[in-house]
Amino acid sequence: MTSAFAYPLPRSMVRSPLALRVLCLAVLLASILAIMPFVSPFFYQASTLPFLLKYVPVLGLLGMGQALVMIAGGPGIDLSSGAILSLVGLAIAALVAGGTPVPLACLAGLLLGAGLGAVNGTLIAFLGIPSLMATLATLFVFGGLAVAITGGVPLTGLPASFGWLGQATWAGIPVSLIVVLLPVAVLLHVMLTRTTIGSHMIAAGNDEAAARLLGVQVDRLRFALYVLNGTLAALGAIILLSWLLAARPDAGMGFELLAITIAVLGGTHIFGGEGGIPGTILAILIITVLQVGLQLANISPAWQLGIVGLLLLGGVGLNTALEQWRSRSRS
Amino acid sequence: MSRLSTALPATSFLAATAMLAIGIGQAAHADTIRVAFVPQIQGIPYYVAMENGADAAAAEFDVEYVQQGPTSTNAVDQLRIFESFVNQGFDVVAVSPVDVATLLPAIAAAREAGVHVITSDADAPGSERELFVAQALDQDLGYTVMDEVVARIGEEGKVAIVSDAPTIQSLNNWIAFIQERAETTYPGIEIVSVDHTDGTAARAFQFATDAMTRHPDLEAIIGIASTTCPGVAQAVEAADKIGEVITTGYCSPNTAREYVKSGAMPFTVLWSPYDLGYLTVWAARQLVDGEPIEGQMTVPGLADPVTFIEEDQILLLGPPAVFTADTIDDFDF
Amino acid sequence: MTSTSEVTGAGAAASAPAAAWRRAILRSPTLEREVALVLALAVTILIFANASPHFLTAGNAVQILRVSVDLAVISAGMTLLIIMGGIDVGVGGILAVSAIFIGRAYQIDLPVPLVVLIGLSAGALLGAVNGLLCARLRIPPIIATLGTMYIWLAVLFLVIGGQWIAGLPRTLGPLVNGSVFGVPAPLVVVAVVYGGCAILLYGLPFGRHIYAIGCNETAARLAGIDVVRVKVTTYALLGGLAGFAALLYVTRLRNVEINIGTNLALEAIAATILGGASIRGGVGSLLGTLLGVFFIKVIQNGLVLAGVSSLWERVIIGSVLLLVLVVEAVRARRGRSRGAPG
Repeated sequence: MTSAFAYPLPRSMVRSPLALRVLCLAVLLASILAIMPFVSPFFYQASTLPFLLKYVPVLGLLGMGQALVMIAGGPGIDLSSGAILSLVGLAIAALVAGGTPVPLACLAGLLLGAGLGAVNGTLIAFLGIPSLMATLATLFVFGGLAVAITGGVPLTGLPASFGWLGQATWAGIPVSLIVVLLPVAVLLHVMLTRTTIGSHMIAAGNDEAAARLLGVQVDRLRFALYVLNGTLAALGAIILLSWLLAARPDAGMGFELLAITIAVLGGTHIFGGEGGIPGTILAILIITVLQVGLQLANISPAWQLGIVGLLLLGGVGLNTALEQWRSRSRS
Repeated sequence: MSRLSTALPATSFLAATAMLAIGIGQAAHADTIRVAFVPQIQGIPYYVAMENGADAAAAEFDVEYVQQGPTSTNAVDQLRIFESFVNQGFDVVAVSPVDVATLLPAIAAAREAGVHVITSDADAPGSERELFVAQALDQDLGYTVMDEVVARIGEEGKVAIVSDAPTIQSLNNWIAFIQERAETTYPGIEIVSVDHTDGTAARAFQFATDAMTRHPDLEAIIGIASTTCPGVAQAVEAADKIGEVITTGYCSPNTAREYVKSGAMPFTVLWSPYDLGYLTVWAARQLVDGEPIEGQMTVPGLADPVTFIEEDQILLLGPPAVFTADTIDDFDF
Repeated sequence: MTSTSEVTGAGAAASAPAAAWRRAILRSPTLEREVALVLALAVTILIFANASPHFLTAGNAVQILRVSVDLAVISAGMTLLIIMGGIDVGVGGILAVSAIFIGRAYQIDLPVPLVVLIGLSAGALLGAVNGLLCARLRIPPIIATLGTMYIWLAVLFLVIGGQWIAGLPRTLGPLVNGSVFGVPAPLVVVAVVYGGCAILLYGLPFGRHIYAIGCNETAARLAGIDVVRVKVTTYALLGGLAGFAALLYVTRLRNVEINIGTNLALEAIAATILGGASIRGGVGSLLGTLLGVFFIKVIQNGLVLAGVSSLWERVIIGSVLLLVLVVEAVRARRGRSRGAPG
């Protein structure tokens, strides 16, 4: 490691720590992909790609939403996105069972997700409640409601025709990835890197006071991001619903912690000001490839858990190392 | 771009492509029959006992056996493990579904890919699974617990139920049958509450204690999941109500042994998961070999004959077993 | 020009401890919250007493105490940590691994004092690991503790995933079931733990350091406080308390199973915040936390006695938390707009 650090980084990387991070993640992903065939002989076969990629869209949406919330600072975090996913899924399934046409029900679901996100946004951005506390409370309320209203019983009754989004593949790639995740990722990336909103987000995350003085509507921006996160969670619920054709009250349980893991691994700084979509996408690919690859080698999910933990710690520790590399390259 | 930043990713991707070629070559298919089982969760003694039985059967019938479950009763995690086995080209994949709806499309896809799919320990009704290896019918399990409780407390009394998460279907089935038995056969029995823990023995302890406080004349507490067993039994001991309140449930002998001996838990209802695992592997082998499974059959290695119920394609291990102080020492799981 | 020694409390230590206590109580920013909690608790007790004749009995009160101890002990440590500006979302994992050590120690028939030592040390060590990750490697606490939680959970599965540890001895039974001069043991345990933490927080310089770091870490460092040492110690303290809670758990349930410790971290954080602590650091109340713990446990107990489905528990606790947070935020805003300009 020392020998590599002796080389100066290219100037573009010095100026942009994110680009460096993305590069490292890409290398990590490539290395994992390189090692996989030795871990499991079943990794490189035709069926693996659709199998693997199916697990990406839902988590990817949640991870990107979490990254955006974190980037705008505050510090921003959303512990309730998994619960929003569960609740929206139940709502859509209930509507469809009651006779509402599927597209309308999905629209209602998106609105519900946005609404729940708006609750978070109001608490955090307008009332000033720290995000961890506010979303902890909403996690309890939303998640609790999902289980209490249904009594723990999943809702079924979705038409098989709805499965096109979550189950079908096109040339081996899941439709949900092509139709939902990719466009959303591109949109969010463009928003973050090329629009004023994006630069405002990064400014607000970096130095809130300065951003306000410069005229950035920090509170409104953060509110909007929580609404966005809620909507992305609702989108994830729709994909999950289409995939499994059933709504479980605990569908989103555990997803919020994974979303945080993905966002942080992808280079998003937990106190804001730094982060991006490509890194987040790479992070979720890394985690999914690891999980699937290790599973194909029948390595216990317990080990997988531990490796994700190590990856998380290592990923953040990597930041420190990268920072030092950058400062050394600057001089 | 500097040479380093182009060289590094370039080499990595070249290396990955090379590995791909090698990897494909390495994916040779073994000649042995491979059987997999996906339990509802990893790490509870019940499924470990199943694995022991399955391993014994695997040695006996010459199959390769692998068992992997999720670290929490998460339907999507279980789905990923199930699909992983299908992708590895296992001949038979057995599963105890956490959530049936989640697995339906995956089971159909597996059957289409030529993989035999069976369920074991918990069923997936409405799916394309070829058969269900059942320890005992859910109905028998529910009824037996209720009958045994009544045998000890009489046909009148208050009973509390403590279960694990409300989202676990198999547990809910047993609860439903316990309630059904009480309603139809023992109208004097009142099931006063059904509480759901977060899976910890501590909450089970808490619910059991509070139930006894709420109903000072409570006579029995049924702990539905193996995680609740020590909690409810310990609650009765801590409240000094051994003899006044009985506890029971679907508990593994090792966990329940002390309480069975002390009297806090006079009996538990279970079956031999060892035998269940053994039977699962045998059934898998039969399927692959194309051998018929019908009527009453004797399985080499199992003491009692098993029954095949044609109607629902259920391979029944036998009636539920009731463990008491006399018999509990004979078992180790 | 104040000298470092003055800042670090040499001067303060010279004045009577009573003065320090008085100051702490009267100027306490959390006094209002504590009073509010007492009132809320009283109201809740009244509601449940009305709903069930069995609620307001001595036996029930002791039961509530008995099942509150684990959460109470851990919440005390969590309060110190949150005041310092840290957090630990994986303390359930620390409890779980400590419980494994304790269980195994019992299984190989080690003498009880040694078992206790092992349990406490295991927890403290694991806590210290978190502390080092946060203080030394500057990893944000939520990430560090999340990461270690995954790792400890993996360890839990790999070690007892096959065979739970069951039938552990009752040797420490009096600690959970007994009583001292008629006072139930759990009450004594809580009193000792909270009393000790209170002395640490309000009476010792260490407590002042915790507050200082929570208010402004840079200023604290510049003032000469050994931030790394304080942080690691506080995380280790929480870990040690988790080890103690593991001891109580194992003694009460005599079992170590796979789900042990689930939800503990979130409940402890909820109780601490209910008690008046702010996640930003610098504010917190041990009394408030204790009241928060009792509040949660009273609700859990009351719902069962009132016959309300336990599935509503989370919603209720979450709603109360939300209410408390909103009321506090609204009052803070009103105070701000009434107060200084801009």
